[in-house]
Amino acid sequence: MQAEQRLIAIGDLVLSDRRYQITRPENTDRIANAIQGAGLINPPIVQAGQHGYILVAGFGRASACLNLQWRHIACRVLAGTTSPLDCLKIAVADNALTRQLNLAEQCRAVAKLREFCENARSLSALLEPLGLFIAPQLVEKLYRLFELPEDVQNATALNHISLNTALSLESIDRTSAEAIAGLFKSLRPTVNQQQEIFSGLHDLARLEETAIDRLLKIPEFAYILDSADLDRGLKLQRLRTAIRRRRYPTLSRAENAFHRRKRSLQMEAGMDLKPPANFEDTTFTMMMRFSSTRQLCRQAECLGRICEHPDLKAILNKEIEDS
Amino acid sequence: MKIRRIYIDADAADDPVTEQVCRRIGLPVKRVNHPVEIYQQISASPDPEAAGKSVLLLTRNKGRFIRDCPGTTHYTCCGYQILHVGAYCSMDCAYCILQAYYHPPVLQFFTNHDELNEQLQSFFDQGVVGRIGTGEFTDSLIWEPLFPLAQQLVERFSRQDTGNLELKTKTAAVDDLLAISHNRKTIMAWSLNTQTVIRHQERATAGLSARIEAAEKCQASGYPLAFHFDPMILYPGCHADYEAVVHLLFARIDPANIVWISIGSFRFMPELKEVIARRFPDSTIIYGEFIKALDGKMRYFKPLRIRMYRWLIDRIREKAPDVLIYFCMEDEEIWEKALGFTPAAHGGLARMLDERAASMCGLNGRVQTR
Repeated sequence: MQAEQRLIAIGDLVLSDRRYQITRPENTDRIANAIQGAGLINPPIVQAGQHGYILVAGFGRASACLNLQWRHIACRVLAGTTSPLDCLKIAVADNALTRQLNLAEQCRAVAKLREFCENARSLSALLEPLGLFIAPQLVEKLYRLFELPEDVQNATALNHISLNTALSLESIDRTSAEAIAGLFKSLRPTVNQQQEIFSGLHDLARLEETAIDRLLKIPEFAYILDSADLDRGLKLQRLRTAIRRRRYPTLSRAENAFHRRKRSLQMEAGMDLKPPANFEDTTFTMMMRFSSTRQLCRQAECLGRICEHPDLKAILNKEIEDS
Repeated sequence: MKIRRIYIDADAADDPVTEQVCRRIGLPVKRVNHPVEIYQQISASPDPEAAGKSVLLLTRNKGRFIRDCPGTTHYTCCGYQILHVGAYCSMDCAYCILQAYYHPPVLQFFTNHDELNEQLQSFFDQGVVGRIGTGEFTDSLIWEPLFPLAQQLVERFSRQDTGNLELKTKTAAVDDLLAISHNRKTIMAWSLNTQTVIRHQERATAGLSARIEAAEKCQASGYPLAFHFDPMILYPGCHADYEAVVHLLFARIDPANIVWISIGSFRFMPELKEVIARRFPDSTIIYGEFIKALDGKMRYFKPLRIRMYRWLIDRIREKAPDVLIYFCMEDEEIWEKALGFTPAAHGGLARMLDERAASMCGLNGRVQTR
């Protein structure tokens, strides 16, 4: 890297030019405190451009110095002959060699370098000496992630959405993808729950010919999501139930009817009745757990009684009331 | 058929059928030593399922021509036998299982008809009543413009009296079959669905009226007939639409000429969902109330199937009280609740259908309990 250290008027930095930016520092106070305490140990790297100096690395440091109302800042100025590819490599290495980049940052690095590489494999090889180890398969996924709204990228970087769930959002409109990112950010579902919620909402939106963001605003879901009385866990649980009830109305009614009738059987403690999966098969399972002959006798007596119970007959006939 | 390229498997190059097909189509052909290169080319296409419909591979059937219907576990199969004359289909139905059954799917027509004829003769020589059809891995009539196989089979079956051939189709291309002496040993069968389903989910198939008109022509030529309401698809307004199909059918077709009507609902291997979503983005058939059934396939929640079947059966019974109705791949609970009996009470579904075929098609073979 050919660079010359110079003191530059801070107003000459073109902070709005983000062509080489890999990180997006949310809060520069921490950096500002460090600079105030120990000085600017590692000056930003810049390159002279038509309208001033373009930042290559050190966006956080430059912003912190601006906030500290410095008038001048020491910078390492790259030779004008340094190519855009080399500038990007410097930007990546400056960040990746000091800390682990999160998924959104990796995504940005990959997207910016993509045009210089023939394929994912060569891009992966290019990144390795810069301190960024990304397998070619992941590079392919990051290309796709970069095409998604920034909210989705950030939610993925913060682990609020798994990468695979995020990539499923490619199939929906951007507003809905942002709505899902917001929903997962606030409810923090597990990976399996993310897939279940997304798949349920996606299928419902297709069936009802609407978009997911609009679907989330219907009273049935909005009531849960906007409730001030429910904590995160309860909201998540109720939302999943509401989605399932709307997606599988007949199956949900059958499950409710089964549980209501099962309760009416008033089985003894230790007894349980299980329906066949999805009520598809005809075999039900009765379980009896007991620890004494007295308990077993009570269960046996109960078993005789429920065999005559009309609700058991209704259960076995899989009767469901019409909606 | 919109075939753009013909490939000939080296093994099939000298078969007379190959020569005849190539002469009829008149497209340049490419000889291949192994079909893998065709598969690779098709797999690389953005829509392999569509690409496979534009390529014809003439090859030899290296397995058996006559095989049992694969059926599935836990559900009652009709015991139909498949005459495996070719694979895949030039029509393009959203729900078609063949899209996910072959990897990748390619139109294949088998050319070793000498072996086909030998195996058919063995089938006839057993002296056992058997139902055999070509419409499982392909449509029975799409190949006729390339090679008159259905015509030859109808003629062949007419000269024996132990088995019947069922030609199952969604086309209306029956004109070449009408004058053939069939001796009632061939059942002409149509897959029926509502106008809405045909319009939106069955690309390049004949319309409902055209299918029924074709059936009517076959009826006039003395062919026994069959109809398959499969796959029934649930959507708002579907009941009225299926009623209209029943009405149209019996306005033109005499129930006394119908050997059987089968009913089945849309079911699919889970991997087909992605294919349908990709290839038929406007289709919503995969978003119904499906559950994973006992054989791993997705099926409508059982009470929905029972309700839909009962309703259709009532409509059919109003027009044709005595016609034999059976379910394709359903369990005893469905039979009992929708039809009021189970096949076991009649010696099993295969036997029920064998006896019906024997009486309607004049078969003299032994009816076996299977």
